[in-house]
Amino acid sequence: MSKGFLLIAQNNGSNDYVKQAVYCANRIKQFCPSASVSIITNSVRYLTDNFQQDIFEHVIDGINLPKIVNNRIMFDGALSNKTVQWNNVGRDLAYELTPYEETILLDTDYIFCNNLLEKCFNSVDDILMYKKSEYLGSTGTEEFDRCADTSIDFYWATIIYFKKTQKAKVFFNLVKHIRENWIYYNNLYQINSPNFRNDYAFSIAVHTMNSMSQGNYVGELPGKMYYIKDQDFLEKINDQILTFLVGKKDHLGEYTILTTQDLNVHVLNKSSLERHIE
Amino acid sequence: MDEKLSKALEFANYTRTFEDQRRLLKERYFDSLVFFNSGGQFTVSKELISFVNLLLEKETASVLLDDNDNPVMIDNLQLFYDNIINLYFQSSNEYHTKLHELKTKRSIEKLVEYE
Repeated sequence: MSKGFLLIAQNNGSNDYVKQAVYCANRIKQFCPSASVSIITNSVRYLTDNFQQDIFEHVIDGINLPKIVNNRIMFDGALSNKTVQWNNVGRDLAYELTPYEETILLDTDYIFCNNLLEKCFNSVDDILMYKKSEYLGSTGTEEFDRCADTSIDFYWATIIYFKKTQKAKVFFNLVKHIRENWIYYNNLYQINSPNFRNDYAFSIAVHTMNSMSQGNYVGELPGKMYYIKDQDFLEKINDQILTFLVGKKDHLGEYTILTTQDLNVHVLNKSSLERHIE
Repeated sequence: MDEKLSKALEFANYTRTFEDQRRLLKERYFDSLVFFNSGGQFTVSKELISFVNLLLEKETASVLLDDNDNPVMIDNLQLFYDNIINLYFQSSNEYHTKLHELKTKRSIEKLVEYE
């Protein structure tokens, strides 16, 4: 049965997701040497002209993916931000586009420092996602416990393990339906997000498939989703040791330094990540 | 700024960084305790070790519930036990060593090993 990692890189004017994807694929290969990695991108020409493409087993043209461009304020540290165009649509099509029987779909801004995720292949579950998360700063992670104060449990769409099964197909089709009717679901679940967000759509799908309750339709990935916010900085990458500056609570523009070792980390400050992967 | 206050703030920064690093060491420890067998995902704990040890008194194979409540058939319970107890010792010893090292570091730079 074919198994592999799948990255989706849809470049916008502000961030180079293709560059992030190449870096991410190299990290995957470093920690999981036998792993296969593929990419779906709307910038195939840019990828082939500028980067080593042999890192990817399959390069899938995503030029026909739906295009709904959201405007989003993206921070680069606490004191700098800009409004960027952000095309995050199409993640629900990963089920149809993946070349693998077992896939780990992940964001390009996820830094691999161990091989924990690779061990999920052959799982007895059809779908695995992260529900538990840990902000590397010590100010708590309440904001990602639920989609909103009065809403449902939050699941991260950053990493999704799935098999080519009927159960997973139904799940991804449901996410697609939610995306196509986002205004309705946004109001129904009292999320009040002006933009479509994959985490919310997948969380709604999990809730729906659990008969509008909590349940085990989707299993949990091992460990936790570790992350820094876009108000924090990635300071240094030294193999599997990562150094970060995380914002001090109630002290805007002041930071605490910390390091992680052997922990995979989701870096929400994409500009900070790109500065380290030149 | 008053010298005493300045030193107090410096120490506060040190203790904050120390607590962060200690917390992250613990997270690394928990990550390292995940064991995969027969498609199941098991977080090794004292309870799991004791339970499997108890099962071994009567069984050579058994069904165990994994972290996601999936029933997983473990054909070779003895091998499973050996693997989880090895993982537990290895991870716990490493956690102990790393935490001991951390406690000997007296500056923020050394705590985060920042050059």
